[in-house]
Amino acid sequence: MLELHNVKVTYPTGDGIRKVSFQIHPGEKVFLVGPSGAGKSTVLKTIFLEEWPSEGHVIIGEYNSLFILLKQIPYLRRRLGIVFQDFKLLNDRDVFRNVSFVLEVIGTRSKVIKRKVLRALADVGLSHKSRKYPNELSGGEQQRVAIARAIVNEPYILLADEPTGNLDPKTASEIMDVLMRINTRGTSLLMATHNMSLAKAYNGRIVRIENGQII
Amino acid sequence: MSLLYSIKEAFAGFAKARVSTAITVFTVFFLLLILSLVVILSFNMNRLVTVLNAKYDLQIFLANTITEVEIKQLKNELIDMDGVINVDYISKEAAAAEFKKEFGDDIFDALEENPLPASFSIQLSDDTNNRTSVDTIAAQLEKRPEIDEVVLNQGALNILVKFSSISKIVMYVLAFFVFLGSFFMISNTIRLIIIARQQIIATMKLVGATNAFIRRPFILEGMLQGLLGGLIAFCIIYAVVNLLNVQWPGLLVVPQPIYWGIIVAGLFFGFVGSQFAMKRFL
Repeated sequence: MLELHNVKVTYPTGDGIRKVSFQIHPGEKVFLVGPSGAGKSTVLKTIFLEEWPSEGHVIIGEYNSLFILLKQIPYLRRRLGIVFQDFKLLNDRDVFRNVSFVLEVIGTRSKVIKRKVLRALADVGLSHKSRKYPNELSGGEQQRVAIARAIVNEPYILLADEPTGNLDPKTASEIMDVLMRINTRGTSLLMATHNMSLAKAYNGRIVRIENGQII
Repeated sequence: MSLLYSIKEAFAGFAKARVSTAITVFTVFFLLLILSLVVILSFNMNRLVTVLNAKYDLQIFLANTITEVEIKQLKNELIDMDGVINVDYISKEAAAAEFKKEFGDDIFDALEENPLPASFSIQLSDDTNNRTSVDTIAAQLEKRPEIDEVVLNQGALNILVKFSSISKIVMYVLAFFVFLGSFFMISNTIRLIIIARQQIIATMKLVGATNAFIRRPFILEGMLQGLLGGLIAFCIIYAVVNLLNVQWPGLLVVPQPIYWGIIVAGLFFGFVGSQFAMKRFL
């Protein structure tokens, strides 16, 4: 379902990743663990093709980085749910419209949009804040909105880049619970974190990365 | 569905950037107003030229040797000619009186005898009243020995025709500058809006929005700006033309296509301007 084969990405600074290979199977829960600057975010960016491998290739469902066309990238991203450390919400619209955006993009009927968005917001416990704007929410709530947005279109896999990095321990634990609940329902999860104990606590497969290489 | 989304987004964007949008709409309105006024004036100029075309008349100056009998005979012949509806005889004395009226001096003060020739002023019917028919009649008459000269009265017409062609050139030049002005105002406003929303656009891309999907609301927003500018220009011109025509009935004729053209031009400038702005970012 998700395969990285000898992936190499280099930045002008010399940083990056090399010879990164691993696979994730449907429903699996994987923690990509490593210190800051180890290349975790680069691995995730390579999966949603914000970074392009200079060597090796990435396979996501029916898409292969070797053959994918630039215009197909949005369609690949629609099959992924992405949660960022800094949430990346659309600050010009309310919670409902942040989540509905990914469904608007694929031309979903408004009735279906309403049903799916309310479902996703219920999953993250934010049904009562659907008319709030991102700047009216706490960090934890914003991250929940980001998760709702990531799962609303039933993705192949949920990619989470340090989703608890900006949150206090209690809120972080609530976010982890939400992510685990989604994973339990069958959505694969790849979560990048620097926190080994957190990864161990949630009982998933751990892939360790250091200096841009899987160890 | 996504079109409905784009329309909603375009209106939302309109509300978010109120000041820059208002300035753009006003500029487009102002530029379209100037262009429309020139087009309307130019159109009415053509109308005036057409009206004056119906007022070609011929003046036939007679030879000094012509006798009274010949004059009567010629007048009858002229009246019988196809396309002639009226023939006025202007005697040498009447010409001298006209001269005095026009110049204030009696021609007999300077000269002992009247050098002004007698003449006929001929009015032509509408169907004969075009340049080709008039030239044919003039050529026929000029061959006759009792006729000294045939003059086509069209001085005012020439000036008007010349003015009309100048106004056409002015119209084209203005249309070009109006297009450029509207184009740059709209593309600049959209560009500023895009810069302000760059982060949002980046996020949209990350969650799977295609460039076309992101671009559409901005294009619509530009078109809305152009449309609004066009609509205001349309309303003002409609009101002014009607007011003028109430005061001076029949002064200006503005065909429907000109009115629609103002609105369509606004939409078009908006489309091209925003399309240009988007091309540089997406």
